[in-house]
Amino acid sequence: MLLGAILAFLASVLYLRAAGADASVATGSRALTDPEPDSTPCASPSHARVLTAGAWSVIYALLLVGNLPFVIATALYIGGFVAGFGWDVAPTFRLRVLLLARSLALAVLGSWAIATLFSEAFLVRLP
Amino acid sequence: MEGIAALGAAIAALMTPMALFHVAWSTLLGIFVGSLPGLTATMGVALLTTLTYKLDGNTAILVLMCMYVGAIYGGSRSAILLNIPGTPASAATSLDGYPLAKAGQAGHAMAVATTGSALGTLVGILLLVVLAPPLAAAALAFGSFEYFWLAVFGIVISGRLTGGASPLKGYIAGVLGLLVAMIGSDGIHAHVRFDLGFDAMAGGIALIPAMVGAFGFAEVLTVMFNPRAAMNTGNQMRQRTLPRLTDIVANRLNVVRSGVIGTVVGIIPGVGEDIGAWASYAAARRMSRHPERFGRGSIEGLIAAETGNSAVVPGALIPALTLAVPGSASAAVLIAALYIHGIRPGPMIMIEQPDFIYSVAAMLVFATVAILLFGLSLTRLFVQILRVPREVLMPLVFVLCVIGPYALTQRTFDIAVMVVFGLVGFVLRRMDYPMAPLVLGIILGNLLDKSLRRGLTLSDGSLDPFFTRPVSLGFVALIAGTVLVSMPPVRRAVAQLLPPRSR
Repeated sequence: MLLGAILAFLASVLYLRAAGADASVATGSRALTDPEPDSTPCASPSHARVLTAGAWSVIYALLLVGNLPFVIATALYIGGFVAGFGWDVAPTFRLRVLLLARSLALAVLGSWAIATLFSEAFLVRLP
Repeated sequence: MEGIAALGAAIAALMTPMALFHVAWSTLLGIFVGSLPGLTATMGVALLTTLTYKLDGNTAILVLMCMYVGAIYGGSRSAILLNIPGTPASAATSLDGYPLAKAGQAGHAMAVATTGSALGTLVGILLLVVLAPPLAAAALAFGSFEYFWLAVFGIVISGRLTGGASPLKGYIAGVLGLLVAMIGSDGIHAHVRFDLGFDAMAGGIALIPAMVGAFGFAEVLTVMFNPRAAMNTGNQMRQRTLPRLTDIVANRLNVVRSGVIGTVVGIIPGVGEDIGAWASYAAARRMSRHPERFGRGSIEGLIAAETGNSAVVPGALIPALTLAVPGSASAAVLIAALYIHGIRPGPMIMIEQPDFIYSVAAMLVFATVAILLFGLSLTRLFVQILRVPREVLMPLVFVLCVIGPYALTQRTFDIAVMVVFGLVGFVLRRMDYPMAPLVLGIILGNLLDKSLRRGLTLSDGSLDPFFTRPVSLGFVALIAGTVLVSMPPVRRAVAQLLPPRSR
């Protein structure tokens, strides 16, 4: 309860300070040099990229791992990640075929290497 | 002298081929982790803690120390070549390192940074050997009342110094960490609290999965959020990559000053390498005959920043080993690793394992020699590593983030903890909340809670001893001073009271 009260107090002070800063901007007492922040969550490529990366990673960690053999789940995740985020920088058909081939190779090699290294060399039990 | 002799004996004990092999690979991995923007020392240490828990205790600690030293040093690579600090600790390095790289002196800048890092760590090691034993002896006099205030002080000072322009956010992050630490069985009567009906939460939130999430997954997301970096190397790697003796001799006082400042900053709970670098850099600029060169490719500035951040590593271990209070986020993970391997940090360490502090110092010496050798000889290799695309590297890092927490307990619940802390950590970072106080809150929460309750039991519910015992009173004064100084009206009043030249 004590911690909750401290947190509520600090949050209130932060809110009041932010409200004060907003008011000073609105009345023109502070120069507004920063551009207007994005109000929509997917307004920029950065937002779209991080949402996609976050969603794909959560799917891997919470759904694929444990329900599929580790090597297969990891290969799917790595392959999907490399192909998905490399797609935009490979505009032609030929480059995309190359990207898919590279994704497949990285997926297979990466998942196998990680599984072997940690289960055999570090003696770690894999999920 | 006794300490130096013990350090010599510890170094001799580590001179085995297997130990040297572990030093080599873990330091190299540390430099690799540190040099890649987005992968930090804390993440590297947290991941490696989970992956090396089956090694014997001394080997595992050796590997973690080398990772820590290597990663803090490795951050200078991308700071110099990309103008993006590989770790937050190298932010000050980029101020002078990048202008040097742009002026065609990237190789020279990296050589200077390497030497500065090595010297800074050595200064810190010396102070670790000298200061840790008496500090542990002094801490034996601490009771529950003092430990309670020590925990509060750690969180407050960490929030104040890492919160930047808004210490309030630092304090909030610290309190959030304390709230997380309250989940699960309490430390005295084992009453289960805040488990929300989930059996898996009855044991509490383990530090390592939380750290892997907050420093691993959150960093994967941060890297994917940021735009791609452009490398500024050109053909500069063909030039000199060895330091000039004249640079080192000319900066000898700078090295000692920055090393001492970095170590002292390291001793302050939960502050970390970035503050050590900035404090050393600011001091070097104030004392310099050419302050106008700082920020434009000053060798003095580069040495100060690198010496300062590297000296924090041994400094952060001083309170971690003697008080079980981490001096940095990475040291917090190291404390967890020590517990995993059956070593109990705290004031009793000089009684239970008197040689351990010297063993740690010896491990740091080996790591320092390794960064010097690798840093000066493998410059071109690290440039190639920086070219690895993030869409290839980040999924591999995240796979390790999943394996790590599971490896420790074989519970999928810990993977979920990692994911939640990663997402929350990313959002908090975007909103400029520092992570160090959060981590410190999680690790000090148990100490704070137990000390408060034990203290109240000892005093029959009276709060008096918390305010009347001399050390407690000292901590109260420090905490009150820290909080007061972080308040803008107080800061303004103090600034008005000071004469203009001292502002």
